[in-house]
Amino acid sequence: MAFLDNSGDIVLDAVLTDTGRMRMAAGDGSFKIVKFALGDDEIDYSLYNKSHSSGSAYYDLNILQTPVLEAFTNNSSIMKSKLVSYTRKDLLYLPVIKCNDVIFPTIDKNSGVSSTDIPAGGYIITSDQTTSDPSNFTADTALGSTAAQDGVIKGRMPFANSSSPIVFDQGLDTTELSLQKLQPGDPLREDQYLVEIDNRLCYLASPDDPNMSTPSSFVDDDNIATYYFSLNSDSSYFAAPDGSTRRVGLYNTNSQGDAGSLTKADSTVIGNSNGGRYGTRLTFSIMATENLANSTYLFTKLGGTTASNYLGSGQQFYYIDTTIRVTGFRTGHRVDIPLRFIKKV
Amino acid sequence: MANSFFGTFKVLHDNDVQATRTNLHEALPITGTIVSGTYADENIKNYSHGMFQSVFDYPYLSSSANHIFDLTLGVASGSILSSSATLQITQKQQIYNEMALVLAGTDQTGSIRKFDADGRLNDGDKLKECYFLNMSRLLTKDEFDKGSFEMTLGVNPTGSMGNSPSKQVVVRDVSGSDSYKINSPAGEYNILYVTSSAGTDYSGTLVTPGVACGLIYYQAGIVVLTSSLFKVESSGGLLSNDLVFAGGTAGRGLIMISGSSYEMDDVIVSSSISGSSDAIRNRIQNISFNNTTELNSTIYFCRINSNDFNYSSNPTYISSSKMRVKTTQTDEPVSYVTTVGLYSNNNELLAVAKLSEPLKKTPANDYTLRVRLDY
Repeated sequence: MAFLDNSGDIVLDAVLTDTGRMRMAAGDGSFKIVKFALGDDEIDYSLYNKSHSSGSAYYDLNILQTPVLEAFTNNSSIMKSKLVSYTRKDLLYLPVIKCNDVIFPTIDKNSGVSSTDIPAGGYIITSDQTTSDPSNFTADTALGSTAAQDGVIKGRMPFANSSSPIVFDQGLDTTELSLQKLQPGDPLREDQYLVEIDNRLCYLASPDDPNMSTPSSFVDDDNIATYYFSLNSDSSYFAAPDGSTRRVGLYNTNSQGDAGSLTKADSTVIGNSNGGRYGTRLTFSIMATENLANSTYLFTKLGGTTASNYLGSGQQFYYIDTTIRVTGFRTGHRVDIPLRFIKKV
Repeated sequence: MANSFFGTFKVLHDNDVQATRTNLHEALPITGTIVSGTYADENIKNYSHGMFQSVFDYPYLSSSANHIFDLTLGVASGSILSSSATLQITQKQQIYNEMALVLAGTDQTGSIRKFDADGRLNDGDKLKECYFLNMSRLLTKDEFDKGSFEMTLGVNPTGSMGNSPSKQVVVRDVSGSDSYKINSPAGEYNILYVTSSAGTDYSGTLVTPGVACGLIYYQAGIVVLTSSLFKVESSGGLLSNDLVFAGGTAGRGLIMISGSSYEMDDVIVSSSISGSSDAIRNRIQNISFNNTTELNSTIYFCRINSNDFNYSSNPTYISSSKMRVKTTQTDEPVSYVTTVGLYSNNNELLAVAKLSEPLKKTPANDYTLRVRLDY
């Protein structure tokens, strides 16, 4: 996309997204615009110079000169970061969402797996029964243990188990604030999440039972499925006491929320033992689709094959690299986690 | 605290959404050199079926070529030129009937009406030998802008057209901007008039300046020209006998095909549709008109109050959860808008609008951004 001409008045370049056109073509009333959001994808706030020698009028000089790209029509390629409304003007800290790689370490934190095998901070998902079956691999490798393995998600039944759901923690990730929890009703506490994944490759399932799939809210024209989780209506996907999913650890446990009696939440990645504000913890399982399990078409079309001794298994695998995106519905923060689906050649 | 929270979306209320309709007009000049000459007719496509020929703005084998109009000839079944001796008479009648059926419709008995010279369907002269210029939708869009159509035709008597023939006539939609007719099944239409009133090039060419010479169908994007436009008065045409006398034999008509003796009636009888079309096409000096695009728009008024959208979820907005744009709690928050996203109730991004430059948002200002979607 080209840059927009910014030499004159401010203009708006408006287009329908591909999903918008699809909904309009459907003619079923699904094309109905009911709300708006503002984005600032191009802005690099690190350019905000609060110590500019010429004064405050120059703090954002570089930001205001940022050229703006034309609109993408792909709905998932734009509005990646949204502006947020808080009536309070005195906020100094804003919440984040982080993948909890302590409860369920990512592949790069699994000492048995080379960090070069997949991008850091992500997971491997086995895509068929053969690849999910530990008996097909050497026992001391990442794929060969019957116990849950760090960084490896068994993506097919009956080997998928509830001990390896992905976990996301939300809160103020700072040690400059005392250890407390964000109380219900606090605008910084996220209680609704959107999760986006490629619907051709995988689907989400209950963290308690990977055999129980989660219904998606919608699938767009690019096969991106969006799942919506609300603390009120989907409490089983949230950690205690906000839900009943105990296996991912207690989180935000002190009902009083006073700093004096609060202890660090179980294995959190928000703040540390001395500080931080805990919000909510979301968790779910990921399962590979039938297409991946029973066909190599998508692997050859979207992926490739690994080296012959991948993960030290002595085997070669088909693979597809993708990401899963988790976005706070109210706070707007989002995190992308890399995933690699593998299938034994 | 909970009640004051708005989050990342703001709901559009009924008074934030307005539907409007606008007509856009583009001026389209088509020079005669494109129609006949510039590309040595490599931009003219004739088909094996021989029913019409297509004119492109570039050699049609190129992917850069755009179709601009089709040209064809129709002869009514009651025409004196309609006989078994007429070349391609079946196709010429088929063309006439097809165009008449679509543009003029049928009478109370179900018979196809003939094109009427004055638009009064039940009486008056009928146009029985007609040339049709079917403009591409790429050019006309939704319709011709009424009153804008103008076509200059060379009427040199010998058939030698050149780039600037000394004798020209101009066909105009002179009354379109004031009045038009609505008794066609193909929408609004009007009568075209040929004039010779614009300068010396036009003097002495017409029997009576400003007479009807065809029809223009605005929404259909079709121009119908009577073959009389290329005949002299002594042959029942609109052109003056004096026009021919200077360059040809008195009492004869225009030579329509260079190097031949074919006048207009000869062309209709003895030439194929594509040959007849060539004869007319080579006399086109200019065509110009304005098209009309009817834009139906929905305007979304995105009202951003002082307390709205002053923070950002941009990953660069914070460092270890601490905002970069504030040093103390008393500093005003600030954010920069580059994009407006319009969403469905399911949180699907249906439309997006980009600002040409970042817009600074603080609690000290508010905005209303008008996002217009055209359909």
